[in-house]
Amino acid sequence: MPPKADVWKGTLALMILRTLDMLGPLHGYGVARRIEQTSDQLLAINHGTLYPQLMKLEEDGYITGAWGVSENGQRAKFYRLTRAGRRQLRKATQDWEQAVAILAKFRAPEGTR
Amino acid sequence: MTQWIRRLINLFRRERMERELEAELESHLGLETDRNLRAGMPPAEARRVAHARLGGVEQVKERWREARPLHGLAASWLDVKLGVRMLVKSPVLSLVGGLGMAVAIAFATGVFTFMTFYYSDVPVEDGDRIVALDYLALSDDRSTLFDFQLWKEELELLEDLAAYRTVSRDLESPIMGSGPAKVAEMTASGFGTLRVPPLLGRPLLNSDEAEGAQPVVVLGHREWQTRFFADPDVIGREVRLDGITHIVVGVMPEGFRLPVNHGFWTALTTAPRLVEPVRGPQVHVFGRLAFGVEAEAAEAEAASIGEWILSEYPHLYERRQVAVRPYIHTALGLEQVPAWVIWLSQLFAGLILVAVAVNVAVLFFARTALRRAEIAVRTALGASRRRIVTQLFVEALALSAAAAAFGLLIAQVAFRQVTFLADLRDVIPYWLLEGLPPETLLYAGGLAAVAAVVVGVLPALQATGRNLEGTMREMGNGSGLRMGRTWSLLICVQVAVAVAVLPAVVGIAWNYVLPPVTMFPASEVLAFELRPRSALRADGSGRPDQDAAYGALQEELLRRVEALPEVDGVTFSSRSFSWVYFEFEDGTVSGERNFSNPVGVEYFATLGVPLLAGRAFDRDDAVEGTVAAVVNRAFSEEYFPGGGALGRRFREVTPTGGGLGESGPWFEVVGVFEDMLRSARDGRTRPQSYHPVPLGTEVRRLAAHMRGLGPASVIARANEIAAEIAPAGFELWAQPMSTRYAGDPREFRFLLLGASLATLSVLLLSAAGISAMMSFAVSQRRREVGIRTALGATRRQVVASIFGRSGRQLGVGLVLGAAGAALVDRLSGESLLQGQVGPLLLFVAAIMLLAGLLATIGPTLRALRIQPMEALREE
Repeated sequence: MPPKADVWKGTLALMILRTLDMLGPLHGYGVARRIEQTSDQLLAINHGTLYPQLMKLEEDGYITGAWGVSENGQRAKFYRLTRAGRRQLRKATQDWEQAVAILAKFRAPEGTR
Repeated sequence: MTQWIRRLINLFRRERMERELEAELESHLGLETDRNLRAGMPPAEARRVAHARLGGVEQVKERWREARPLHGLAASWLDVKLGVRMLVKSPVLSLVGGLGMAVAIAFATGVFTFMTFYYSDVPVEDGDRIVALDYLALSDDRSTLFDFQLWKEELELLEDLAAYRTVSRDLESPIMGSGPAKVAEMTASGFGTLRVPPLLGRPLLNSDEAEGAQPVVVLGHREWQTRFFADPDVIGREVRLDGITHIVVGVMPEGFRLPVNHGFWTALTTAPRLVEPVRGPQVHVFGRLAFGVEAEAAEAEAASIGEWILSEYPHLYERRQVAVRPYIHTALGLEQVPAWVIWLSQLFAGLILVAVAVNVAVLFFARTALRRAEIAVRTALGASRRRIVTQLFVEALALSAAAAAFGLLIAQVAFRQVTFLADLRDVIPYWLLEGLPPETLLYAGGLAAVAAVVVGVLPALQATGRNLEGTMREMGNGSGLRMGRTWSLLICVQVAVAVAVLPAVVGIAWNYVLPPVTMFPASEVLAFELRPRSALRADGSGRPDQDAAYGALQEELLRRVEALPEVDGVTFSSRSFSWVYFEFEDGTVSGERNFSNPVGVEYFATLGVPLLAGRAFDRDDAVEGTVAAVVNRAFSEEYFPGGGALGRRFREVTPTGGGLGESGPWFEVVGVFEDMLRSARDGRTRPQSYHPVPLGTEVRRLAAHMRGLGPASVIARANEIAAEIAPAGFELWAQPMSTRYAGDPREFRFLLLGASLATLSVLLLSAAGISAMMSFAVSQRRREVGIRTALGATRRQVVASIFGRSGRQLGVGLVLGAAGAALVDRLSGESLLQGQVGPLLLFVAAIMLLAGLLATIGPTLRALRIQPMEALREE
């Protein structure tokens, strides 16, 4: 099994927003698990960095959290995307796609640019 | 925007958010542990792995705190609490450091206040354009009505030129009775210049200035309120100023007390007979710069008029140079002080604070170093270096903020005391008297921040260096020596600076506060005179001429007091005492100027000054063309060492502009008297000569010898006489000479307090520095002391080794400081310490030594308590 890659700086927020957009309300642990699954276990998410990021997104108004009961019957905080979060997701996705496109041009073979 | 509001709100929800995070992490750990259990791990292992993946609850919380927007601010609240707690925990350090910084901040704030004065504008519309026009204070030459009239006619760049002078009048109003009043005699144009309309009635008008016009007065708001009970019908009422009836024509609004701090305005008479070059009433002139005109341009214009007037009156206007300055500079007598002097003193004051802060930083560094275990634990728990430095900064800020608050209080009290003591309330413009200006709050805050950076951040950066573990290991081992050296050096420098500077401070304070010693029975002599209430010369507006009539008045008072049964002798001294060089028969001239005093014939007998040689004056001496003079002991010893003063001749040389001027007639020394006053500190006094003059127009101050009944009854009788003979506008001033020379006890207390505070803070800082240094050294040398004790070193040897170290630092500091003090003394031309370097140095050195050694006792006791086995086991 290849070694897991760290999450690239600045992309964790995008992954969280995307995950919540796809799956609806989810607790922090669920988000972490989902990101790992989506990356086919290629990404090693440091759970310790996830929560500060979640709280920051909540503070910025992109997601909102509410306490509920998790699958093991414990109290857990469930996050969902807000309208501002959706807008932010669209914007971040566009930025990301643009960045990828630019990078793609750099790795295209000579003469095809 | 909403984001920022939410962030701000969250600043105050921090604890709740932290609790939520904790709950969330707990839930996360539960879910992860369940998953691990399902994967077949044993429960303990499942929980441990979950914790490991999360990276520790405390660490996550710390990361969250640091990632928060405005986290610095939020972190600070906790730090403030922590900081205050730390300050309370080490009260000595806090007190010593705080006091030192407070004194320095008070000083810097005082200098800053002065700077705000320097740049303050007159509080009226476009106040920055109000300027004063005057001759540079090369001598006592002030502008006169003549100059004012000339400038008013000729100057185009200055608008609404106005003149005023301050006079003191007896005010009698039908409502309030009588009392003294400070009156601005001002040209009517003054109200136009200042552009403040009256609250009631009208301002002064040009027609009020005319000679023979009905005298009128405009009242200040406070005066209207207090002396006229805010009478709405005050306009048209009559009041008497020095017996002359004035009609109240207006009341100015609240907060208007221009030109300086006035509450009554009467018209300044500009009658042609008063307008002549140089003579005539002296006035202050002010005006408004025309729109867009710089002060320099107006000054150039005034200078060109100056050239013209110089060609007209060359001998009168020879040394007069006109200047246009901001109003406030002239009001405060700062015409000649350039801005850079103000800024330089500000810089100097700031440097003093930095020096003190560095000192406190040394103390904090010692503590920070001693707290390295705490810092290491916090770092291990995930606190970043920034976080720790922030905490230490805030801790220092808590201290420096408290110091700033105390410093502001000191500055405020000092400001009030100084303005009160120095009788400045009549001289300083009223808008500066409110207390410290609000800018000083900001300034003191800034100083506190700077001090906190020096005190908190520098030691913190050093103690939390990148390689914290390495630093810690270094500190634990003997290699802390490097740091020890830096410290030793700092302590030495500190002791040296204290020793170099303190004697000068003590010397100045000592010199200033100690009243002179009187060498005659001063308590038996009453000094008295009739004083006009106005400080300025009368100009003939219904008041007695001071010269002839005033002399006659004084003479009569003297005669009447002489006749009192409680008095057995009277005398006087003359107004025309002079500040002269003495020239002797062999052609030598005294190196410095001293006093020559014309006095009454019975002067020495009345005052009871002991005769040392020769004789006192007799009646025949006090006639025209006399040659008899007597001198004091200092004169005799200075100019005729060996005692041959009697019969020798000298004359007085009055210096003029460029050098020695004209010589007076020759005098012959007929008697030598004891010095009347001597400096309390060095017993010295200036050489003085006395020659007799007849009673006449020159009378300055009168004196009476009392028959031991105490001054009260004589003063009461003298007051009765004064009331009988003196016209309005004069009052009796009387004081036993002992009181006069005793100095002002309030001034004494104030100066003593100031000097003690400064000295105490320096001493405490030094002592605390040495103590902290020694504590640190002892904690560093635990192992060494342990081994030495184990090898049989006695308690005495341990004590000697600790004291030896502090002794060496003190010794080097004292020697360097003594050299510095001698240098300071030499540079100041030996005037600062008045030749008392030795005793003062000894005094200061003894105190420093004592403080230093006392400060070493604590650490020494700690060293003695070190158990060899424990110290060795720790390693």
